[in-house]
Amino acid sequence: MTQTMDAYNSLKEIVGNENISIDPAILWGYSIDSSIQEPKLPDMVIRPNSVQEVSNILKYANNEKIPVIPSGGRSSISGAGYSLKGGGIILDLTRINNVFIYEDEANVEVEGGCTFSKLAYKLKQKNLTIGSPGPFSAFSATIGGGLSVNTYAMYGANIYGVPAESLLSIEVVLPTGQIINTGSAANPKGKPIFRYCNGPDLAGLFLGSHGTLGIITKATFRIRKRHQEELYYDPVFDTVEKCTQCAIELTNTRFIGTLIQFPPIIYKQSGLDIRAKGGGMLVEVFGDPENIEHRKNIVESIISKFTDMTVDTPAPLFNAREFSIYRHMCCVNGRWAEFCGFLPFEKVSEYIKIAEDFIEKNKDLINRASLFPQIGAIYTLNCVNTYTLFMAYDVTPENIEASSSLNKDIADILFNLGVSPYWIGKQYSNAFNTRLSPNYVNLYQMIKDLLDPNAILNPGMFELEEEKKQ
Amino acid sequence: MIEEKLKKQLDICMGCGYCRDAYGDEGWLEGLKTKHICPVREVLGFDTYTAKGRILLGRALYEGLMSYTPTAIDIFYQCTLCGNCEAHCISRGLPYVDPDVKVREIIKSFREIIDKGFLGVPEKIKNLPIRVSEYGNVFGDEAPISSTPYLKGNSDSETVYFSGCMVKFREGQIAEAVDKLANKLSLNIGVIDNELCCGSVLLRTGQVDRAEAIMSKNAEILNNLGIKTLITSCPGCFNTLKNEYPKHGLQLNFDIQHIIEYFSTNSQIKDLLSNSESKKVTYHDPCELGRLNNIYDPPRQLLQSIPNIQLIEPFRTRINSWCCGAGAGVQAGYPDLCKQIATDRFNELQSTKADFIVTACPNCQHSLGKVGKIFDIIEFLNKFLI
Repeated sequence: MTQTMDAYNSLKEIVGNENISIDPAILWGYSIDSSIQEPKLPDMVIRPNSVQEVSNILKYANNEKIPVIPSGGRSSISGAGYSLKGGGIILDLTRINNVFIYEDEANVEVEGGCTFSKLAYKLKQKNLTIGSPGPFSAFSATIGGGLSVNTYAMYGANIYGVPAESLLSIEVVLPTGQIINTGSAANPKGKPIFRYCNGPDLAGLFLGSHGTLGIITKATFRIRKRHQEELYYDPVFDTVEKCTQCAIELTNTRFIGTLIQFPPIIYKQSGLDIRAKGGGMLVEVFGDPENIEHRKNIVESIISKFTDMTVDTPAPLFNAREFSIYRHMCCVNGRWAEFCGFLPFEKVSEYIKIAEDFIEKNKDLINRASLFPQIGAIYTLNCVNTYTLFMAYDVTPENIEASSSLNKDIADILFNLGVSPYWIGKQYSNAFNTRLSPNYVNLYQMIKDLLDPNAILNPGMFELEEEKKQ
Repeated sequence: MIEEKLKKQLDICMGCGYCRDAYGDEGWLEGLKTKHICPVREVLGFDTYTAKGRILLGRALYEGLMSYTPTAIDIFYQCTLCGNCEAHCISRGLPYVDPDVKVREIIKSFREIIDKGFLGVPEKIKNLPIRVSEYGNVFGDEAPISSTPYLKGNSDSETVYFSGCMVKFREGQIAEAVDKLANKLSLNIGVIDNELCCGSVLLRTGQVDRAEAIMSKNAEILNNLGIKTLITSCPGCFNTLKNEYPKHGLQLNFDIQHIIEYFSTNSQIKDLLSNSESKKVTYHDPCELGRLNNIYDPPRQLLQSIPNIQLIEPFRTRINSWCCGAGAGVQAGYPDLCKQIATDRFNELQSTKADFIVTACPNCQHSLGKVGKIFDIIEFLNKFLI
């Protein structure tokens, strides 16, 4: 308590009285993200307003060996952005949220606490985009937080991949308080216009690091013109294999914005009566007035090779805008544990079979807990992002526990299939240590030790400290 | 019972954070357009003031992990119940209905728990029921701001005007404006000599027993009037009488209309209005009229019935309207917070560069009026009467 009070008194000099709190009532608001993990209370929350304030806070915390947890929207569903072990300082970065658009240089500089939706909105006003605009939680998820947890966006994923695909440079505050810029901005005379220069791609080191190596306070993205036209298709198929092959061919046209493949069970659950045994897909074609007709012909020609069946997808399915394209079938509300990760095209059909078999095998528990399974494969550049979850709409501790337990079991199976999750969070921290190559984990540990000698940043994430003690 | 319902509500929230920001013209549902969601969070800063933050604190209180400290209590009273978080809550689901996460109910439940458990209702809010029971109004004033009745209607009128505390004791010009317009239209609107507070503020500050006591007395008075229609300028009174009385087992034997509904269906108004100079007007949607009762178009139609008036919408309008800061006891309990929210909203209204700012709520008018000039809609219509 003395250390907390000392820290409070010192740090309020940096951010001002109104931007720091050790009041437990305030702290509970920062006790968890969107996951079903157990809430933990930090010792303090601070709302810095500049990179310099972040740097000064980290210098102090490093000297005093006080844990610091960078936090944005806390909308992760894997357990990130809150104090995994309890205690420490939550850095609420949402005050650092400016956006600077440089149209002539085709890039946008955005501060780490800005939400993805704010960035998308500012760009859209100029008919611009970074490509993949941001995750389902884009209205609360921040740029810094999103990049730190390898955020994924469904809308536009087929053609643009993830938001980080457009990244040019980041500004990061290291645990010791030093501020660095990556890529071309590493040259103090340079600008953040290119990622792969001035030696190694150090931006990549911090992407997906879950705030364990540094705090991302600014990012620069390449920008491009937004597409003007969109077309939607919702074909269904005789077999999963046909559906998969059609999805691959469509993806390879390189003008599909979004493509999600569903197994038959999803249509059944959604109340859509289809006879097709192979499930179906939602396809969103991006284009412009001068090419949309041509693209339409190509897409229809590909689909017609595999099926002549379609389903009347309810209009609202597509009415949810770019951050949540098919919310009717997916996450409207309720709580759940989810396993997402990447697989090659060749394993999609196998994944769907495994997931459906798993649901069949566990149907008693699923029914007992009134869970709503979700399975899908989102085609992403050259691979698919699979997601498997068990939604508890009837939110009770028992049903949440059932969702969690099923998630753990399916995750074990899917890790063995080769799925690589992009979120790690509290939920898969243990997997980071046990499922990945020891050399990879050791290299990470060495980097962590070097950058964060006092292990102050986000303790508990990846369970690295525990491993060190062993 | 409260606790059981509350537990379910607290559990449902998935914590997505859509109740903090929703930047831009594309919310997750068509028609949602805003920047931030919670006016209190935008002033006080910490995310604990968002619906998600309050729910996390609520869970800790419910589970006994946290005690009802003065800050915790303040967090539940520093909410205007404007409903913007519910409007943007992802749990509204499909079809587009009320949200599953009923934040307003959660807040009111905690206020009720704090009140019933003698856990420390903030002093200025604790005084409200004393004033209401002793004086029949939330201000504890003995006499209205000007002589009553404002309206010169006959006592045998089938339609009466329910002033509400704010009009009766602070914003009397609104009743005078109603009187003037009614006279011009030769409408016979009566007044209620022994009108009591509708109970709205007590209900919304969780003081349910005392609210029900005054509501019950009021219901008896009103039902004995033998009227067909009750009209009021106050969206709080309107919502309480129309929607809350029945929920508390109090049936009223007459129709209840907001003044906007009442006058907007009168086809003669348009013929009585004249204006030769082109003017711009912007309209502030009161939360309880708009988000709670879906009355968005009638006030706009009334304003557009004035010749040469151009209606300009502020950035946050209709379902996305930003609160004036006054609601649910915040004006009484936290005047500084109220003033800051009002200033933010007034600046936004002013940024439309409209010549006039208009609303249809005496509480909004009182709150925003402390920042700058704002007209009640009937008062504004009167400016253009022939």
